[in-house]
Formats: sequence, structure tokens, C-alpha cells
Amino acid sequence: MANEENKNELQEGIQVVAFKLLNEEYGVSILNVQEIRDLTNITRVPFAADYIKGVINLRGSVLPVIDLKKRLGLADAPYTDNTRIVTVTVGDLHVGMLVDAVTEVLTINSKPVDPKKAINGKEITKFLSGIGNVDGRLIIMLNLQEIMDMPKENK
Amino acid sequence: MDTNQYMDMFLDESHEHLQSLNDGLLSLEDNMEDISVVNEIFRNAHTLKGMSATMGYNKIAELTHEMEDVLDLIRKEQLKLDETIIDILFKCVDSLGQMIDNVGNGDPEDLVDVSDLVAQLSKISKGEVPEAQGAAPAAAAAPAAPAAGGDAAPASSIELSDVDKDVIREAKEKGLLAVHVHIQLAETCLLKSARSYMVMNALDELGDVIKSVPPTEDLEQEKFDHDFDVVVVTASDIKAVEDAVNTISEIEKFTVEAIDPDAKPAEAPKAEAPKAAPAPAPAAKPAAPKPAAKPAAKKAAAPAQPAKKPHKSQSVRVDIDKLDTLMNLMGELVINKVRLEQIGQTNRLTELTETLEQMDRVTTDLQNIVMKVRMVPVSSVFNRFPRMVRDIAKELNKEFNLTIEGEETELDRTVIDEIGDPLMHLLRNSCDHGVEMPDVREAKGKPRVGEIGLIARHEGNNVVIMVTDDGAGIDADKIRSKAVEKGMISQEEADKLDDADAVRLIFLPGFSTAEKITDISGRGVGMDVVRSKIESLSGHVDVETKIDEGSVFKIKLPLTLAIIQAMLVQVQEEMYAIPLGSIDSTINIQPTDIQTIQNKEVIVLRGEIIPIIRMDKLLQVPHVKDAEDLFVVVVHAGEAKAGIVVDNLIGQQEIVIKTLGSLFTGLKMFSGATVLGDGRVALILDVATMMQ
Repeated sequence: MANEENKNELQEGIQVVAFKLLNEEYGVSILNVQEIRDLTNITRVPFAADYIKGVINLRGSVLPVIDLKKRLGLADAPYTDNTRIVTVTVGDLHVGMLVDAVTEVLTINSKPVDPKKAINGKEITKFLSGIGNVDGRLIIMLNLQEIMDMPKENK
Repeated sequence: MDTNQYMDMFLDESHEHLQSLNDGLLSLEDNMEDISVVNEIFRNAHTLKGMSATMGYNKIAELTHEMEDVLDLIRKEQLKLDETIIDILFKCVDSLGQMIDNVGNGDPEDLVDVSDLVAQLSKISKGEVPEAQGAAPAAAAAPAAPAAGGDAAPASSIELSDVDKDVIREAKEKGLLAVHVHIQLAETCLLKSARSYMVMNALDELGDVIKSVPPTEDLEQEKFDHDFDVVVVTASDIKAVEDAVNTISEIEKFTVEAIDPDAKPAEAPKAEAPKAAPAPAPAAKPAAPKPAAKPAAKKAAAPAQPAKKPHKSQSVRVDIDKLDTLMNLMGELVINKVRLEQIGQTNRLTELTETLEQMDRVTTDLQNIVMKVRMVPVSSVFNRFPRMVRDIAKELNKEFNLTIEGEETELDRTVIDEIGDPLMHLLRNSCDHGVEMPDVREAKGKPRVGEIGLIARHEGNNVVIMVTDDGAGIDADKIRSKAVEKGMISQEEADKLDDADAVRLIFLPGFSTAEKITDISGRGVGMDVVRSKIESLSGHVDVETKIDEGSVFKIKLPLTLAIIQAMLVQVQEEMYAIPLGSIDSTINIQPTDIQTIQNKEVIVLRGEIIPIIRMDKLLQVPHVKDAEDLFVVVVHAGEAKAGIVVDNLIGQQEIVIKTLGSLFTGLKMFSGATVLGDGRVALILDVATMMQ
């Protein structure tokens, strides 16, 4: 199922939740998004992977939060009032993603471009599933499976 | 009839009956004279036969049927029980287990070939009892019957209470006729309850049914073999009753006769029965006298059955998922309660605090109950071991005496499910490597019979299970050299280890000291598997041993895995929870109290040197402020101790353990996380991992 959702991201006319990381705009399919929460206390988990920020309490259950900028190799930036946690579901996994700001929900009508064609092939493109173009605004679509580092067979 | 929906119930109950069969046979082996045990296992076999026949598993039914025949002869003392018979019966139970497992896995039951066993059994039931031999093949189904009823053919074997007799007498005075109807349904009859219902209905139309054996409820639930007895008070005659019954199909045989209430058929059916049927028409069908004998034989055992029932406690089978949900809800409740308590304290709302104290009592009780509901006595695991030990004894030509203690000790269901294999492994080890051959034992001046103990008991918030033996013990030097030989440790390291630590090397992966690999134990996977299993249950396993005196393997397990008592500690600005079960004590120390041994920090506590672990360094906690005080939480894992240095002790609290989830697999330092009263998440330290 998660796989289908991901395929959707390469199709036209899909709704995405767009958010900012530094100055760039990223997006994930609205079908993966559970909710958007204000920043709360994040408990650091020692010895966890460096891009895992920690865990938060989501209505009594424990939810891991990943630092999306760190995962994507972007520069660090301090929290602001606009910092949000976007909680997403990929397969069986519920994860929160730390983003600088959530901008809006928008529809990508044009066919997203394969990221490998859009930028010079770097390792980083494995985290991307396409580049959407909304009237000249570039929305970088994320490949959540890769970001969560889920084994292929679990997709 | 679609039997699939009954599958789970069938499997559950069959396993219970198999277990009772095993237990019964074991106790018979010790005391072959005990007929009450024979009766007990006869009933188990009988029920199993009925159940499997209903489910359409004819092979299982066939085998149990043969077992039943043999047992029937034994309990009538027409056949002397001996070891061969018990061995065959044991084999039957094993085959039954396999067949039932196959059925459970969706495989056909006949993957297991039982024709041999069936043949052996029927040989026993025929060959050794000459009087049963004359019986036709069909009668082999109930070979004991003719012999048992030989002296009389008491058709009227129904047991009448005084009340029943009064009713019959009254009826007689009114000119009504009391009739005893004995019905035997065809062996092939599938819907026994439906047939019995039809019979009851037909009789009801003729008069009043005042009694039936077994009772109506049992008839409806098919809790009977193929025959049952009914007493009817009717205004019509015997012929009318016969006609009524005759219209119902799938009835093999039946008898109808009048009852004289003043005879005493129940107490002495054999002697009195003929008098009890003074009226003519002793039988409706020609074959009557013989079949009548069978019910008489059966009836002999019947009165014991209801008498046994009150011993069984009332219980309900509940889906474990529902219990898990209940547990989760309980967890949420506890979290919210703690949060409310904090609000009450922060805002100094006395009224709220008082109410909360009340609520606290209720939630604590509730929590205890929920926990208890999930608790299962360890006997459910232990009871399979006597059989196993017996088999091993036969296989190895050793002699064991297995002593089980504290089998009523209860553990969480999830723990119970996991503990079986490690215990089995430890027991097998004790039997195989621990206890010596009888001759060797004798030479050492020990009794030939090796003592194996399986002991469970409570120890604080833990349950301790010990597997003991009085065997050869474990030779620390042998372990050392083996470990060096396998390249697991260097010679110097080995020399440094004291004996207790050296013996603990057996828990390392890839360690197996068995000189030869046997079926019983040792295939390279050994104690390390036991240890990792126990540790995955938040438990610990340790061993104590003395050469030629034996070994004790000690498993310590938490009572439950879901809600635990923990100490909350603060390190800089982070909070961690340490399970109270692993805490020995907490002390406040000065920085100068910390000494070093070869640059390793230690403290001396009541004469004991305890290595210390600085949590801020170990967990790389961001340094925010300098701590004014140092607190040391002294923890233990197994026999080892350590002091964990923290900045502050927040207090003791019950915490609900949540898993960290799949993103953190491989992170062994924490056994989980918990949500604190203020909504923050605190990680729960795994003390054993931390100390490594």
C-alpha cells in the first residue's frame, strides 16, 4: 500500500503537504501525513542514528522524530515558532519529521520530474521521488521509504 | 456440519486432555494399582474420542477408542497393567499429540501412522483377556461389555433419587406408568444432540420426562457417548412408548421397561435389577439383553463423573488480544492518573488531591486485577516436563527423580509462552550432562537415582525459577581451557577469571562443552540461546555449581512486562527511568568518595568495592550545569553490581513500558520508554546492558 502511495508521487494531480527546510520547499503525499503538530519536548535517544532527533509523546504512545535536514544533509538551523513536526505513516511505521515550517497543501498538476534528471546525480537523490513544478514553484517530493531506511522487502 | 469454528476450542481442549493423559500415565507408572487414575485417564481418552469424532478426525477417534478399550479392561481389573502397556499408551499419547498438531497446522491427521499402535492395543485388549475374545469384531468396540455384565443383564440401571421414586410412586397411585427408556444411538450418528432431542420430544408428548441420565443439558451439548437413559411417567403403555421411539432414525437399539420405585436399582444394579423389571416386555427388539449389558458397564463409571466436577474452577477462555487491549487501556489510565496527581500537587488543590487518593486506590486494585487476569501458573509449562524427564531417563539409561516445587507460582502470560524452551533446555542439560550414569554415581557414593529439581518461587517483584541437579557439577578448569581452545578468550584472561565467572562462560555464544553431541542436548546452540531468551524477557540467568555436588541454574524473571516500578533519575536536564527491580540502594556521595583502581572509578560501600558508571559520560548527555551533589544508584545484574552516578533522584513511580519501535532496533541500552506525568518521554535503562 505504501508503495502505491509512493508511486502516486510521480503522477499528476496529487495533493501534497508542502513544507520548508531552510529555503527549499519539500513535499510528501497527503496520504502519508497523519497530522501536523507544534514542536514539543523531544527526548534525546543516546546511541540512536544521528538523524533521529529523539522521541515524543503522541497521545500516550512513543513516536520517533527524525531531523529531516540532517537526514538530507542540509545545514542545521535553530528552532523557530514555525518549526513543526509532521507525523507520517509509511507501512507500519509512524514517524515524526522535524520541518522548519509547513506552508500549505497543494495540488501538483504537471508530471513531476525525475530527480536524477533535475540535478546532477548525487547520492542524495535516493531520498527524492520527484520534483513537482507548481507555476514555477519547485516542490521536492520525498521518498519516505528511503528516508526511514526501511528494508526493501518491507515496502 | 461446519466444524472449523470449533477448531480452536478443539485444539485447546485436546491439549488439555493430552496433558491429563500424560500426567495420569506418569502417576500410574509409579503406582500401577491406582484404579482411580485409570478411571481419570479413561475419561480423558473417552472425551478425546468424542471430540475428534465430532470434528471428523476418525484416525484420532480410532486410536483413542482402542486406548479406551484397553483402559476399560484395566479399570475393571480384567487386565493387569504392566510397563509394556504403559509404554504403548505413552506412544499413543505422543501420536495423538502429533495428529492433533497436524490438524492444527491444517495438515491431514493421517500423516502419522497409527495402525501399528492400534493393532498392538487391540491385541492387548483381546489377547490377554480370554473372555473378551469370543466377542465378534463389532463387539471389539466394547470388548469388556459382555464380561462385565455377565452375571446379570440389568437393563434398568438408572439411578433414581428418593425424589424421583416419590414421583414414580405418586404416578403409580394415579394409575400412571413409569417407564425407563434406554436409547443407544448409532455409532455413525453425527448430530447426537438432535437425535436425543427428538427422543425427548417424542417422550414428552406421551407424558412427563422426570429424569434423564445424563441430564438434558449434557444431552443438548452432546456430552454423552452414544447411549442415554430416560425415565418417563406416562398414561399410555409400554407399546406406545416403543412405537414413539421407533419412529426416530439413527437409533441403534433401545429398551423400554416399567420401573418399580421400591426396588433399589442404583445401589446394587446387578442383584436387584431383574426384580426391578417385574413387568413383561423387558425388551422391544430381539437384541435387547446383550446391548443392555453395555450401558450397565458404562454406568458403573458414570456416578464418579459428576462427583468430580465441583473440583473444577469456573473459568472463561478469553482471547489474549483482548487482555492486551485491556492492559494498554490500563496503561493509559495510569499515565493520566499520574498526570492528574502532578497537576494537583503543582496547584496545591487539596480537594483534587484527596479525590485522586481515592482514585489511586481504585486504579491500583484495578491494575492488580488486570495483571492477575494475565497471570498463568507456571504449572502450565512445568507439567510437560515430568514426561520429558521420564523419556530422557529411558533413552539414556539413567535414573532421575524430578521434584517440582511452586508450580502454582504465577507469571505473566507473555512470559509463560516464552519460558518453556529455555527451561526445557536447562532440564535436558541437567539430565544429560549433569547427572551421571547410575554406576558412576554409585562409585561416587551417591544414590543411583539422580535428583533433578524444578523450583519456582517469588522473590520480591520477581519470580525465580531454578533447575537443580545433584550431578557432576561443572568443572571451571574445563570451561576455561575450552574457551581458550575456541579462541573466545585468551589464556591470560582465562587465568584471571575466578571459578564462578569461568563457569559463566557457558552462556557465551558458540560454547558447548558436551564431549559428544547427543539427541538430548548440545548441538552447538546452547546456553547462549537460553540466556538471550531470558534476557529478552528482562530476566537474568545465572549458574552456581560445585564439583560432584551438582549445579543450580537460576532464572530470574519480572512478574510482568507492562507496568513496572521504577526510579526516575535526572542527569543534567535529561530524565531516565531505572527499573526498581535492579536497584539495590541509593546513596548521596561527595566527589572525593570516588577512588580509582587502574584509572577505573570505584566507590567503597559497606566494605564492598563497586565500579561506578558516570551516566552523563556514558550517554553523552549535553553538559548544561555543574551538579552540586552526586547520587549513586547501586544496581545489580545477576551477581554483578555497579553504581550509576546521576545528578538527582526524582523519585519512585510506576511506569508503563512502551517499546521504542523498529527505528531503534539494535539499541540495547534501553528496554523501552515511558510517558511521564508531565507528558515528557523518559527512556528506561537496561541495567544489564549498561554494565557490560
